[in-house]
Amino acid sequence: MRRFIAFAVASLPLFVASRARATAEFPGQIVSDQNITCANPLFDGNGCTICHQDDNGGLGTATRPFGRYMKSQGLTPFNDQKLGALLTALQNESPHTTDTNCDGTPDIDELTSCQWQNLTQDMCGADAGGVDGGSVPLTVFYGCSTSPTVGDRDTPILPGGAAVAIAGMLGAALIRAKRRKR
Amino acid sequence: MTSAWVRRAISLVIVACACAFVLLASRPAHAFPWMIREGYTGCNTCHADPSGAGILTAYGRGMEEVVLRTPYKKDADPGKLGNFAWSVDLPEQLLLQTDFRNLFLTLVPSGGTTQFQDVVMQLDQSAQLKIGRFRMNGSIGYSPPSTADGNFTFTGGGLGATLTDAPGVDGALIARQYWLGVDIGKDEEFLLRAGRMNVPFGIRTIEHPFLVRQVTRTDIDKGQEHGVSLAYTGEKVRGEIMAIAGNFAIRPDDFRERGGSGFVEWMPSTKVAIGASAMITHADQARTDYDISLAAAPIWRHAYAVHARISPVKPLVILAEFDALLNSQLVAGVSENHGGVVGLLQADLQVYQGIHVLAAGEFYNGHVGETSTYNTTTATAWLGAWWFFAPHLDFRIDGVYSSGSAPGLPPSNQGTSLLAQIHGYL
Repeated sequence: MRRFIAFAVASLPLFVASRARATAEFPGQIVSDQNITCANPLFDGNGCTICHQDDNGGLGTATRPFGRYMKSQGLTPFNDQKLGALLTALQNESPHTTDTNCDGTPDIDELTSCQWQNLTQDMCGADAGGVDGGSVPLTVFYGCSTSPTVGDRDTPILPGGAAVAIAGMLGAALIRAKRRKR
Repeated sequence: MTSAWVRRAISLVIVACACAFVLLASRPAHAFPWMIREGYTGCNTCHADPSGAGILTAYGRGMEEVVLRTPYKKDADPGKLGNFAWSVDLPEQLLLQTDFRNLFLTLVPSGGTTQFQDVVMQLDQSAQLKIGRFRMNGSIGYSPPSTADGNFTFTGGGLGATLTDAPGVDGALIARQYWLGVDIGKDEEFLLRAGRMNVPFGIRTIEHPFLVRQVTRTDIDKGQEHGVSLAYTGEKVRGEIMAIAGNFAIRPDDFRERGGSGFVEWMPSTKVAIGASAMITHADQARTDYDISLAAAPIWRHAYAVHARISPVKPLVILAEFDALLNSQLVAGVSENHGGVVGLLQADLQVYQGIHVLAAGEFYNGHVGETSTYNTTTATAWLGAWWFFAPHLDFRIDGVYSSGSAPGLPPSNQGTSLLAQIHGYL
């Protein structure tokens, strides 16, 4: 029993996320990165629904057109730097063309002119060719979702939890081996 | 309607596998795995993974010296040559293995320009720590970045098993497997584990480009999935079932396939093994990069296989697998179901200890590229030679002709390939 508890404790860090930056910051970051000064950009107080199905967010729920587009460009949860880079890329389009929800107004313009509520609407129709009728086909990316991306090199390559767990297991083995020798 | 049918099918498969385990799990594991020609029908004596492949046990290392590589002296005592780094005595609880595998590939496409590739297929450090009945197992490796110069490309492998973003300018860290497990049963005949593991399906073979492995996405190069599995190894029966939670080395989550997979293998004699496998997965979006004929929509993917491993005389081993496939999608409210088949027949002839001649034939018929010029029927022929020429070292050459492509293979697969591989491990 004691052995099981030691094993479980040593393994616990494997299942603990190595970093917990809240994706809930994304809407606020959009406002600050884009210097949005018009009134009430977060129309519902949260702004999550420009990407997610509802304000609860969560993995697999960024199914609205803008959310699908950002995922297709490699945005992952908690990756503030990637969000900033993607917004800059949209802002640098000349002229602004990316209109993921097919409403005729470029997404970046809807964001900066506080028309976020419009961005939640999918106007693309069923024949647009994307997922669930949207206009944005997803692209597969390789690397686990908490892995470092270009410009985000401060994230540890090996999750801290895994490193602690491995060290714990090796330590336990050494202690056991020493006890056996005695 | 389709979803309900599939859910019922999943339940049936799980119940059938569970019944098979309960009914057939009768005797302790005496069977020695690894090479059926030697009379070893199972895998767990030589490999840490009970269904085969990956890091070797101490016994497996010894077997490699005794029965696999070419002997240069009669009845020579292998001594410590099979040990880690040819000499190191590791503690009983610890397994270590460092692998390097490099491939030089010449592609002669039908009607195209010859291409040359150097592929660092594997540069992995694997380890397993076992304390009592509990195990921690994993591997970590490096895949170098790709560079191209004219018709020559240098590249790494393992895309789909990467910890870091890939392909990247600095290469990528690869983690093919990492799991925690507990051995269960009087003779530790069961292994329950959770983590990233090889998917239990069909013949587990090192030839990961075989169509049966590529089309079903069950190769040991990068086809691992995260999940929970239960494996059983007995004298006459072995098998494994796995609940698949998805491959978290790819994103977004829409592409991750979830479901179940499993196989059961019956060994009526020490020279014959017959098995059956089933796999059902669902993803919110199909991998159109794997199969261009699929729609960018949710998909249920089914595969059902039968296989056999037979050694009629000691030098010869015949491997055969036949898989039935079904892709089911709901596209704009309309159900689309596409069937297919894929098969493998391989002969491994050991002409002298450590020297093998291999021949294989494969075929695929399915829903590939109906909207393009790619063939819907593909046949492949392999001929190769493999020499385990020194302790921990082997060299292999293969010639492969393929008449077309298949899901998981490059569209330009049609043509002839010449492969030269060197593999070494500590």
